[in-house]
Amino acid sequence: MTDPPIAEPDGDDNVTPEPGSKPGMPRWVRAFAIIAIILVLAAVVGFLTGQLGPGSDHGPGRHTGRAGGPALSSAIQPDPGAGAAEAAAAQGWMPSPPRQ
Amino acid sequence: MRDTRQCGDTGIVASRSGTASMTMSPGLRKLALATHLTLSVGWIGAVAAYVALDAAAATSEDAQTLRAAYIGMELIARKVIVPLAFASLLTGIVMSLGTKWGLFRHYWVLITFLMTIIAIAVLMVETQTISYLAAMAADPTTTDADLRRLGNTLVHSGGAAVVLVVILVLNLYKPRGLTRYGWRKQLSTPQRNSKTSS
Repeated sequence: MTDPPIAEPDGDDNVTPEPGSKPGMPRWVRAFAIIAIILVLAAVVGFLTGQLGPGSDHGPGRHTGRAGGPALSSAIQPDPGAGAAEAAAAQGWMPSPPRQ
Repeated sequence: MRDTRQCGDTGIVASRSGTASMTMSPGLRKLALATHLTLSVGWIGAVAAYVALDAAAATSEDAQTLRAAYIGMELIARKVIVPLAFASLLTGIVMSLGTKWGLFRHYWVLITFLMTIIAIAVLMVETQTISYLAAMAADPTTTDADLRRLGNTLVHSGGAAVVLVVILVLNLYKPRGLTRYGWRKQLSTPQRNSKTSS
């Protein structure tokens, strides 16, 4: 008599790694890889054409004064370490946020 | 019967052959799984709440709504999403290393791990932008016109929601596929293969 291929509850929901599967990249992994490559290429093209990255209105520097975002008439210098809610509470026009 | 032994009262179970990685006992595994699920689903829920505020920031013309939305976005991002993201990553690593799935043996685990790392990296960069938006909104000297020009982070938050749902689906369906490392590991544990194929 043979044991069932899935003999013991090891993983999530009592599902175990499949025994005896052949090495090689499954089709679903190839699909993921193709999508990832397309996204990376799109990002590279975006950077090269100036749609992304420094100097554009998209990306990490767009609102931090390090890149060319929209010029605001009342722009202030950001403080990365301080939360805005705390700043607003300190200025007295907003209730203090809950503390952890 | 399982060819394992309990390591004291730690709840950790080790293979008798010594070749397999340490695996958790069923009770500890269920506790770790419940913790990981709670944190991961909580992460998705927090992103959903963030997307709602982000959408309000993108569509509203009302200055008070914009101020509230930006400040709420920062609170959710910094106080909820970031902690949940790191906790989910940590518990996910514990779950993978504490079970026979491993971290690098199966494509679905590896891809889940990589997508989580990328999502957290983008989140940490985006948090700076969110903080700046919230600081502008919290500043009473910011004019209504400037508030309406601040913009939104819908591309990133929407993308994050999609990525997290893909990760969730991968974790539920667990599509087959061993990596080369996983294949070598499977070959190095013959007692399991012989037992299941006899």
